[in-house]
Amino acid sequence: MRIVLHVLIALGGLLLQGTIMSQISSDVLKPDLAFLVVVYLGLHLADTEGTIGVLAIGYLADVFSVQPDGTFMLLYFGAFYLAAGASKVFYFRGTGFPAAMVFSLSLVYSAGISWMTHRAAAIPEATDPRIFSWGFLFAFSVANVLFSIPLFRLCRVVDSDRDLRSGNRATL
Amino acid sequence: MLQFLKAYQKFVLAVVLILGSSYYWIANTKEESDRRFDERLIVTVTAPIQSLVTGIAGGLKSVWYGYFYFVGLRAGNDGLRAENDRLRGELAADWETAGENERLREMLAFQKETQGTLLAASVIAADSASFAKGLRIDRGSRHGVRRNMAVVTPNGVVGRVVEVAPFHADVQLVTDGRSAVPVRVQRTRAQGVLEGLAGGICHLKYVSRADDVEAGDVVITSGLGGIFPRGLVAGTVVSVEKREFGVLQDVRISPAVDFRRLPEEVFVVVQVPVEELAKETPTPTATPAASLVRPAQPASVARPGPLGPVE
Repeated sequence: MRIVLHVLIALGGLLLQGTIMSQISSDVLKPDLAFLVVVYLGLHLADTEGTIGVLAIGYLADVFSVQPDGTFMLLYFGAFYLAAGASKVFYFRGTGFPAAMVFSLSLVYSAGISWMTHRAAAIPEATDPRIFSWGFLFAFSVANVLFSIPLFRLCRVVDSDRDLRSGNRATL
Repeated sequence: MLQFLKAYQKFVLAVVLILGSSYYWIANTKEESDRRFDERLIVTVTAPIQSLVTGIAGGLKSVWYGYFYFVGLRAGNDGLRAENDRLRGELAADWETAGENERLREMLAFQKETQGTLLAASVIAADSASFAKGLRIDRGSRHGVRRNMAVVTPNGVVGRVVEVAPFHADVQLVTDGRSAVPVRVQRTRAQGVLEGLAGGICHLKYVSRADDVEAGDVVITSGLGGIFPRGLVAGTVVSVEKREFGVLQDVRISPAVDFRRLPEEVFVVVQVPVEELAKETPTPTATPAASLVRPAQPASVARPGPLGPVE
Protein backbone atom coordinates (compact mmCIF):
# COMPACT_ATOMS: atom_id res chain seq x y z
CA MET A 1 0.00 0.00 0.00
CA ARG A 2 1.54 3.24 -1.17
CA ILE A 3 -0.15 5.27 1.52
CA VAL A 4 1.93 3.41 4.09
CA LEU A 5 5.04 4.68 2.33
CA HIS A 6 3.71 8.23 2.46
CA VAL A 7 3.06 7.85 6.17
CA LEU A 8 6.57 6.51 6.65
CA ILE A 9 7.99 9.50 4.77
CA ALA A 10 6.06 11.78 7.10
CA LEU A 11 7.30 9.81 10.11
CA GLY A 12 10.84 10.19 8.86
CA GLY A 13 10.24 13.92 8.58
CA LEU A 14 9.00 14.08 12.16
CA LEU A 15 12.10 12.25 13.37
CA LEU A 16 14.37 14.55 11.34
CA GLN A 17 12.68 17.67 12.66
CA GLY A 18 13.10 16.58 16.25
CA THR A 19 16.75 15.60 15.93
CA ILE A 20 19.01 16.97 13.21
CA MET A 21 17.00 20.08 12.38
CA SER A 22 16.75 21.00 16.04
CA GLN A 23 20.53 20.81 16.28
CA ILE A 24 20.91 23.28 13.44
CA SER A 25 18.46 25.87 14.68
CA SER A 26 15.49 26.06 17.00
CA ASP A 27 13.11 28.03 14.80
CA VAL A 28 14.68 29.74 11.84
CA LEU A 29 13.95 28.04 8.50
CA LYS A 30 12.77 24.81 10.12
CA PRO A 31 10.03 23.38 7.89
CA ASP A 32 7.24 21.04 8.87
CA LEU A 33 7.93 17.99 6.70
CA ALA A 34 4.90 16.01 7.83
CA PHE A 35 2.72 19.01 6.93
CA LEU A 36 4.25 19.00 3.44
CA VAL A 37 3.34 15.34 2.98
CA VAL A 38 -0.22 16.18 4.02
CA VAL A 39 -0.37 18.98 1.45
CA TYR A 40 0.92 16.59 -1.20
CA LEU A 41 -1.81 14.10 -0.32
CA GLY A 42 -4.40 16.88 -0.52
CA LEU A 43 -3.17 17.98 -3.94
CA HIS A 44 -2.76 14.55 -5.50
CA LEU A 45 -4.48 11.86 -3.40
CA ALA A 46 -7.62 13.49 -2.04
CA ASP A 47 -9.54 10.22 -1.69
CA THR A 48 -10.14 7.61 0.98
CA GLU A 49 -6.52 6.51 0.84
CA GLY A 50 -5.29 10.04 1.38
CA THR A 51 -7.74 10.61 4.20
CA ILE A 52 -6.49 7.55 6.05
CA GLY A 53 -2.92 8.70 5.49
CA VAL A 54 -3.63 12.15 6.92
CA LEU A 55 -5.33 10.58 9.93
CA ALA A 56 -2.24 8.48 10.60
CA ILE A 57 0.18 11.37 10.04
CA GLY A 58 -1.82 13.66 12.33
CA TYR A 59 -1.87 11.00 15.01
CA LEU A 60 1.91 10.52 14.80
CA ALA A 61 2.55 14.26 14.86
CA ASP A 62 0.51 14.53 18.07
CA VAL A 63 2.56 11.74 19.65
CA PHE A 64 5.81 13.52 18.81
CA SER A 65 4.67 16.88 20.18
CA VAL A 66 3.95 18.28 23.62
CA GLN A 67 0.91 20.09 22.24
CA PRO A 68 -2.48 18.69 23.31
CA ASP A 69 -3.46 15.59 21.36
CA GLY A 70 -5.61 16.46 18.40
CA THR A 71 -3.77 19.70 17.60
CA PHE A 72 -1.95 18.47 14.54
CA MET A 73 -4.68 16.06 13.51
CA LEU A 74 -7.10 18.98 13.25
CA LEU A 75 -4.57 21.22 11.51
CA TYR A 76 -3.57 18.56 9.03
CA PHE A 77 -7.15 17.70 8.16
CA GLY A 78 -7.82 21.37 7.60
CA ALA A 79 -4.78 21.72 5.33
CA PHE A 80 -5.63 18.47 3.53
CA TYR A 81 -9.16 19.51 2.66
CA LEU A 82 -8.16 23.06 1.77
CA ALA A 83 -5.53 21.70 -0.62
CA ALA A 84 -7.98 19.16 -2.03
CA GLY A 85 -10.71 21.74 -2.57
CA ALA A 86 -8.43 24.36 -4.12
CA SER A 87 -6.72 21.86 -6.41
CA LYS A 88 -10.05 20.81 -7.91
CA VAL A 89 -10.55 24.33 -9.19
CA PHE A 90 -7.15 25.94 -9.68
CA TYR A 91 -4.73 23.17 -10.55
CA PHE A 92 -2.88 24.01 -13.75
CA ARG A 93 0.22 22.17 -14.76
CA GLY A 94 3.54 23.96 -14.84
CA THR A 95 2.37 27.09 -13.05
CA GLY A 96 3.95 26.37 -9.72
CA PHE A 97 0.52 25.87 -8.22
CA PRO A 98 1.77 23.35 -5.64
CA ALA A 99 4.41 25.81 -4.44
CA ALA A 100 1.80 28.53 -4.14
CA MET A 101 -0.47 26.16 -2.22
CA VAL A 102 2.35 25.20 0.13
CA PHE A 103 3.14 28.85 0.78
CA SER A 104 -0.42 29.95 1.40
CA LEU A 105 -1.33 26.89 3.44
CA SER A 106 1.80 27.41 5.55
CA LEU A 107 0.54 30.87 6.46
CA VAL A 108 -2.89 29.47 7.31
CA TYR A 109 -1.28 26.62 9.25
CA SER A 110 0.89 29.02 11.23
CA ALA A 111 -2.11 31.21 12.03
CA GLY A 112 -4.07 28.15 13.06
CA ILE A 113 -1.46 26.81 15.42
CA SER A 114 -0.93 30.29 16.84
CA TRP A 115 -4.63 30.54 17.64
CA MET A 116 -4.77 27.01 19.03
CA THR A 117 -1.77 27.64 21.25
CA HIS A 118 -3.49 30.77 22.51
CA ARG A 119 -6.68 28.88 23.29
CA ALA A 120 -4.84 26.04 24.99
CA ALA A 121 -2.64 28.34 27.07
CA ALA A 122 -2.68 28.07 30.85
CA ILE A 123 -3.86 31.68 31.00
CA PRO A 124 -5.60 32.22 27.64
CA GLU A 125 -6.78 35.72 28.46
CA ALA A 126 -3.23 36.76 29.23
CA THR A 127 -1.68 35.45 26.03
CA ASP A 128 -0.96 37.62 23.03
CA PRO A 129 -2.81 35.88 20.17
CA ARG A 130 -0.20 37.13 17.70
CA ILE A 131 2.48 34.89 19.11
CA PHE A 132 4.54 34.84 15.97
CA SER A 133 5.87 37.74 13.95
CA TRP A 134 5.03 38.13 10.27
CA GLY A 135 8.71 37.78 9.46
CA PHE A 136 8.85 34.39 11.13
CA LEU A 137 5.68 33.24 9.36
CA PHE A 138 7.11 34.34 6.02
CA ALA A 139 10.41 32.55 6.68
CA PHE A 140 8.57 29.42 7.77
CA SER A 141 6.45 29.45 4.61
CA VAL A 142 9.51 29.97 2.39
CA ALA A 143 11.29 27.10 4.16
CA ASN A 144 8.28 24.88 3.52
CA VAL A 145 8.28 25.77 -0.18
CA LEU A 146 11.99 25.03 -0.50
CA PHE A 147 11.70 21.67 1.22
CA SER A 148 8.55 20.77 -0.66
CA ILE A 149 10.50 20.53 -3.92
CA PRO A 150 12.56 17.45 -3.01
CA LEU A 151 9.85 16.04 -0.77
CA PHE A 152 7.14 16.19 -3.43
CA ARG A 153 9.52 14.53 -5.90
CA LEU A 154 10.14 11.78 -3.36
CA CYS A 155 6.41 11.30 -2.91
CA ARG A 156 5.94 11.21 -6.67
CA VAL A 157 8.53 8.45 -6.90
CA VAL A 158 6.24 6.45 -4.63
CA ASP A 159 3.31 7.24 -6.94
CA SER A 160 5.34 7.05 -10.15
CA ASP A 161 3.28 4.40 -11.91
CA ARG A 162 -0.14 5.90 -11.56
CA ASP A 163 -1.87 9.02 -12.75
CA LEU A 164 -2.46 11.22 -9.80
CA ARG A 165 -5.16 13.62 -10.91
CA SER A 166 -7.66 13.09 -13.69
CA GLY A 167 -5.10 11.75 -16.12
CA ASN A 168 -2.57 14.57 -15.62
CA ARG A 169 0.72 13.86 -13.94
CA ALA A 170 1.50 16.38 -11.29
CA THR A 171 4.48 18.67 -11.73
CA LEU A 172 5.90 21.42 -9.52
CA MET B 1 -31.31 11.52 4.03
CA LEU B 2 -29.47 8.46 2.79
CA GLN B 3 -29.48 9.82 -0.73
CA PHE B 4 -28.04 13.08 0.53
CA LEU B 5 -25.29 11.23 2.37
CA LYS B 6 -24.50 9.14 -0.67
CA ALA B 7 -24.44 12.13 -2.98
CA TYR B 8 -22.21 14.20 -0.70
CA GLN B 9 -20.34 11.45 1.12
CA LYS B 10 -16.93 13.04 0.75
CA PHE B 11 -18.18 16.35 2.05
CA VAL B 12 -19.93 14.67 4.97
CA LEU B 13 -16.81 12.66 5.76
CA ALA B 14 -14.71 15.84 5.74
CA VAL B 15 -17.11 17.57 8.12
CA VAL B 16 -17.23 14.56 10.43
CA LEU B 17 -13.43 14.26 10.54
CA ILE B 18 -12.87 17.94 11.21
CA LEU B 19 -15.55 18.10 13.90
CA GLY B 20 -14.21 14.91 15.44
CA SER B 21 -10.65 16.27 15.48
CA SER B 22 -11.89 19.52 17.00
CA TYR B 23 -13.69 17.68 19.77
CA TYR B 24 -10.62 15.52 20.40
CA TRP B 25 -8.40 18.60 20.63
CA ILE B 26 -10.79 20.49 22.90
CA ALA B 27 -11.10 17.50 25.22
CA ASN B 28 -7.30 17.27 25.53
CA THR B 29 -6.79 20.97 26.16
CA LYS B 30 -9.15 20.90 29.11
CA GLU B 31 -7.36 18.16 30.96
CA GLU B 32 -3.99 16.54 30.58
CA SER B 33 -3.89 12.79 30.77
CA ASP B 34 -1.30 10.06 30.85
CA ARG B 35 -0.16 8.52 27.63
CA ARG B 36 -2.25 5.68 26.24
CA PHE B 37 -0.70 2.29 25.56
CA ASP B 38 -0.42 2.89 21.81
CA GLU B 39 1.33 6.24 22.36
CA ARG B 40 3.75 4.70 24.85
CA LEU B 41 4.49 1.93 22.35
CA ILE B 42 5.25 4.39 19.54
CA VAL B 43 7.48 6.50 21.77
CA THR B 44 9.35 3.46 23.06
CA VAL B 45 9.96 2.18 19.53
CA THR B 46 11.00 5.49 17.94
CA ALA B 47 12.95 7.04 20.81
CA PRO B 48 16.05 4.86 20.26
CA ILE B 49 16.14 6.06 16.65
CA GLN B 50 15.92 9.67 17.81
CA SER B 51 18.64 9.03 20.35
CA LEU B 52 20.89 7.48 17.71
CA VAL B 53 20.38 10.31 15.23
CA THR B 54 20.91 12.95 17.92
CA GLY B 55 24.08 11.19 19.01
CA ILE B 56 25.44 11.12 15.47
CA ALA B 57 24.51 14.77 14.90
CA GLY B 58 26.12 15.71 18.20
CA GLY B 59 29.29 13.85 17.25
CA LEU B 60 29.50 15.63 13.91
CA LYS B 61 28.93 18.93 15.64
CA SER B 62 31.74 18.15 18.09
CA VAL B 63 34.11 17.42 15.23
CA TRP B 64 33.13 20.65 13.50
CA TYR B 65 33.55 22.84 16.56
CA GLY B 66 36.56 20.92 17.82
CA TYR B 67 38.67 20.91 14.69
CA PHE B 68 37.31 23.33 12.13
CA TYR B 69 35.67 26.21 13.88
CA PHE B 70 38.74 28.20 14.94
CA VAL B 71 37.59 31.67 14.12
CA GLY B 72 37.56 33.77 17.23
CA LEU B 73 38.10 30.74 19.41
CA ARG B 74 41.11 32.10 21.29
CA ALA B 75 39.51 35.48 21.93
CA GLY B 76 36.29 33.87 23.01
CA ASN B 77 38.15 31.54 25.33
CA ASP B 78 40.03 34.35 27.01
CA GLY B 79 36.83 36.29 27.55
CA LEU B 80 35.12 33.26 29.01
CA ARG B 81 38.01 32.61 31.38
CA ALA B 82 37.82 36.14 32.70
CA GLU B 83 34.08 35.92 33.18
CA ASN B 84 34.45 32.53 34.83
CA ASP B 85 36.86 33.97 37.36
CA ARG B 86 34.49 36.80 38.13
CA LEU B 87 31.55 34.44 38.53
CA ARG B 88 33.52 32.16 40.82
CA GLY B 89 34.04 35.09 43.13
CA GLU B 90 30.37 35.96 43.12
CA LEU B 91 29.49 32.32 43.63
CA ALA B 92 31.66 32.09 46.70
CA ALA B 93 29.81 35.01 48.21
CA ASP B 94 26.48 33.44 47.29
CA TRP B 95 27.42 30.17 48.90
CA GLU B 96 28.28 32.02 52.10
CA THR B 97 24.82 33.56 52.04
CA ALA B 98 23.21 30.21 51.29
CA GLY B 99 25.10 28.58 54.12
CA GLU B 100 24.06 31.27 56.54
CA ASN B 101 20.49 30.90 55.36
CA GLU B 102 20.63 27.19 55.99
CA ARG B 103 21.90 27.67 59.50
CA LEU B 104 19.16 30.15 60.28
CA ARG B 105 16.56 27.71 59.06
CA GLU B 106 17.93 25.01 61.34
CA MET B 107 17.86 27.34 64.27
CA LEU B 108 14.23 28.26 63.68
CA ALA B 109 13.31 24.64 62.82
CA PHE B 110 11.95 25.61 59.40
CA GLN B 111 11.09 22.72 57.15
CA LYS B 112 11.71 23.01 53.43
CA GLU B 113 8.55 23.14 51.38
CA THR B 114 9.86 20.73 48.83
CA GLN B 115 12.52 18.15 48.89
CA GLY B 116 13.72 16.56 45.76
CA THR B 117 16.36 14.44 44.20
CA LEU B 118 17.91 15.42 40.89
CA LEU B 119 17.58 12.67 38.30
CA ALA B 120 19.97 13.20 35.39
CA ALA B 121 18.58 12.68 31.91
CA SER B 122 19.86 13.12 28.38
CA VAL B 123 17.92 15.04 25.76
CA ILE B 124 17.35 12.79 22.76
CA ALA B 125 15.08 14.97 20.64
CA ALA B 126 13.20 18.23 20.47
CA ASP B 127 9.54 18.72 19.67
CA SER B 128 9.03 17.87 16.03
CA ALA B 129 6.97 20.99 15.42
CA SER B 130 8.67 24.36 15.04
CA PHE B 131 6.10 26.16 17.10
CA ALA B 132 5.88 23.88 20.07
CA LYS B 133 8.62 24.06 22.64
CA GLY B 134 9.39 20.68 24.02
CA LEU B 135 12.09 18.11 24.60
CA ARG B 136 12.19 14.35 24.86
CA ILE B 137 14.43 12.85 27.53
CA ASP B 138 15.63 9.31 28.10
CA ARG B 139 14.05 8.87 31.53
CA GLY B 140 10.50 7.69 32.05
CA SER B 141 8.10 6.14 34.51
CA ARG B 142 10.42 3.23 35.14
CA HIS B 143 12.97 5.71 36.50
CA GLY B 144 10.48 7.45 38.76
CA VAL B 145 9.53 10.29 36.44
CA ARG B 146 5.94 11.49 36.71
CA ARG B 147 3.87 14.18 35.06
CA ASN B 148 4.31 17.73 36.39
CA MET B 149 7.82 17.18 37.68
CA ALA B 150 10.12 20.14 37.20
CA VAL B 151 13.08 19.88 34.83
CA VAL B 152 16.14 22.04 35.43
CA THR B 153 19.77 22.52 34.48
CA PRO B 154 22.50 24.21 36.53
CA ASN B 155 21.68 27.38 34.58
CA GLY B 156 18.03 27.40 35.60
CA VAL B 157 14.54 26.19 34.86
CA VAL B 158 13.90 24.22 31.67
CA GLY B 159 10.25 23.26 32.03
CA ARG B 160 7.99 20.52 33.36
CA VAL B 161 7.23 16.93 32.40
CA VAL B 162 3.94 16.73 30.51
CA GLU B 163 3.89 13.20 29.12
CA VAL B 164 5.56 10.03 30.32
CA ALA B 165 6.33 6.68 28.68
CA PRO B 166 8.07 3.76 30.38
CA PHE B 167 11.59 4.85 29.37
CA HIS B 168 11.11 8.37 28.00
CA ALA B 169 9.31 11.55 28.88
CA ASP B 170 8.31 14.78 27.10
CA VAL B 171 9.16 18.11 28.68
CA GLN B 172 7.26 21.33 28.01
CA LEU B 173 9.71 24.23 27.97
CA VAL B 174 9.09 27.51 29.77
CA THR B 175 9.11 29.20 26.35
CA ASP B 176 6.04 27.21 25.23
CA GLY B 177 2.88 29.26 24.92
CA ARG B 178 1.09 26.89 27.25
CA SER B 179 3.66 27.13 30.01
CA ALA B 180 2.90 29.16 33.12
CA VAL B 181 5.48 29.25 35.93
CA PRO B 182 4.87 31.16 39.18
CA VAL B 183 7.92 33.34 39.77
CA ARG B 184 9.10 36.39 41.66
CA VAL B 185 11.69 39.07 41.05
CA GLN B 186 14.64 38.20 43.26
CA ARG B 187 15.55 41.81 44.12
CA THR B 188 12.12 43.15 45.05
CA ARG B 189 10.12 39.91 45.62
CA ALA B 190 7.46 41.12 43.18
CA GLN B 191 5.38 38.14 42.08
CA GLY B 192 4.10 37.17 38.67
CA VAL B 193 3.54 34.30 36.25
CA LEU B 194 6.13 33.45 33.60
CA GLU B 195 4.49 32.63 30.31
CA GLY B 196 6.12 31.52 27.08
CA LEU B 197 6.11 33.54 23.88
CA ALA B 198 7.50 32.90 20.43
CA GLY B 199 11.09 33.78 19.66
CA GLY B 200 12.48 32.26 22.84
CA ILE B 201 11.28 35.11 25.05
CA CYS B 202 8.93 34.86 28.00
CA HIS B 203 6.31 37.19 29.35
CA LEU B 204 5.99 38.02 33.04
CA LYS B 205 2.30 38.50 33.64
CA TYR B 206 0.28 39.94 36.53
CA VAL B 207 3.07 42.21 37.72
CA SER B 208 1.50 45.15 39.45
CA ARG B 209 2.28 48.58 38.14
CA ALA B 210 3.42 49.56 41.61
CA ASP B 211 6.05 46.81 41.76
CA ASP B 212 9.67 47.80 41.21
CA VAL B 213 11.03 45.84 38.24
CA GLU B 214 14.03 46.86 36.16
CA ALA B 215 15.90 45.45 33.19
CA GLY B 216 18.59 43.12 34.45
CA ASP B 217 16.61 41.83 37.43
CA VAL B 218 16.84 38.10 38.02
CA VAL B 219 13.58 36.18 38.15
CA ILE B 220 13.34 33.06 40.30
CA THR B 221 10.62 30.49 40.92
CA SER B 222 8.34 31.29 43.84
CA GLY B 223 7.42 27.72 44.72
CA LEU B 224 3.69 28.39 44.39
CA GLY B 225 1.72 25.71 42.61
CA GLY B 226 3.83 22.87 43.95
CA ILE B 227 5.56 22.01 40.68
CA PHE B 228 8.72 24.10 40.61
CA PRO B 229 10.79 24.24 43.79
CA ARG B 230 11.42 27.68 45.17
CA GLY B 231 14.48 29.67 44.29
CA LEU B 232 15.37 28.30 40.85
CA VAL B 233 16.61 30.87 38.35
CA ALA B 234 14.00 31.30 35.63
CA GLY B 235 15.41 34.21 33.64
CA THR B 236 16.44 37.84 33.43
CA VAL B 237 14.29 40.89 32.76
CA VAL B 238 15.09 42.40 29.36
CA SER B 239 12.43 45.09 29.11
CA VAL B 240 9.76 46.73 31.21
CA GLU B 241 6.90 48.73 29.75
CA LYS B 242 4.41 50.76 31.75
CA ARG B 243 1.54 52.09 29.69
CA GLU B 244 -0.24 55.29 30.56
CA PHE B 245 -3.23 53.32 31.83
CA GLY B 246 -3.76 49.93 33.45
CA VAL B 247 -2.85 48.32 36.75
CA LEU B 248 -0.20 45.97 35.36
CA GLN B 249 3.12 46.42 33.63
CA ASP B 250 4.48 44.52 30.64
CA VAL B 251 7.71 42.69 31.47
CA ARG B 252 9.71 40.59 29.02
CA ILE B 253 12.05 37.89 30.30
CA SER B 254 14.99 36.17 28.67
CA PRO B 255 15.03 32.56 29.94
CA ALA B 256 18.01 31.47 31.98
CA VAL B 257 18.55 28.48 29.71
CA ASP B 258 19.53 29.16 26.09
CA PHE B 259 17.00 27.15 24.11
CA ARG B 260 18.43 28.10 20.74
CA ARG B 261 20.62 25.05 21.20
CA LEU B 262 19.28 21.89 22.74
CA PRO B 263 20.65 21.27 26.22
CA GLU B 264 22.39 17.94 26.19
CA GLU B 265 21.67 17.01 29.77
CA VAL B 266 18.94 18.06 32.15
CA PHE B 267 17.82 17.11 35.65
CA VAL B 268 14.34 16.04 36.67
CA VAL B 269 13.37 17.12 40.18
CA VAL B 270 11.86 13.96 41.61
CA GLN B 271 9.40 15.13 44.25
CA VAL B 272 9.18 13.36 47.58
CA PRO B 273 5.54 12.61 48.55
CA VAL B 274 4.15 14.74 51.36
CA GLU B 275 3.56 11.65 53.51
CA GLU B 276 7.23 10.81 53.38
CA LEU B 277 8.15 14.39 54.29
CA ALA B 278 6.27 13.93 57.55
CA LYS B 279 8.01 10.64 58.30
CA GLU B 280 11.60 11.68 57.57
CA THR B 281 13.67 14.15 59.49
CA PRO B 282 15.19 16.44 56.90
CA THR B 283 18.96 16.49 57.07
CA PRO B 284 20.46 19.98 57.32
CA THR B 285 22.48 19.64 54.16
CA ALA B 286 20.12 17.62 51.99
CA THR B 287 22.04 17.03 48.81
CA PRO B 288 20.93 15.00 45.83
CA ALA B 289 21.61 11.29 45.92
CA ALA B 290 25.08 10.92 44.44
CA SER B 291 24.17 7.64 42.75
CA LEU B 292 21.54 9.33 40.59
CA VAL B 293 23.56 12.31 39.52
CA ARG B 294 26.08 12.04 36.71
CA PRO B 295 28.97 14.38 37.40
CA ALA B 296 29.44 16.68 34.43
CA GLN B 297 32.71 18.09 35.73
CA PRO B 298 35.66 16.66 37.64
CA ALA B 299 34.96 16.01 41.30
CA SER B 300 37.30 18.79 42.37
CA VAL B 301 34.99 21.38 40.79
CA ALA B 302 31.71 21.52 42.70
CA ARG B 303 29.06 23.16 40.56
CA PRO B 304 26.20 25.00 42.11
CA GLY B 305 22.98 23.17 41.37
CA PRO B 306 19.54 24.71 41.49
CA LEU B 307 18.87 22.99 44.82
CA GLY B 308 22.35 23.25 46.21
CA PRO B 309 25.81 22.13 45.28
CA VAL B 310 25.85 19.21 42.88
CA GLU B 311 28.91 17.06 43.33
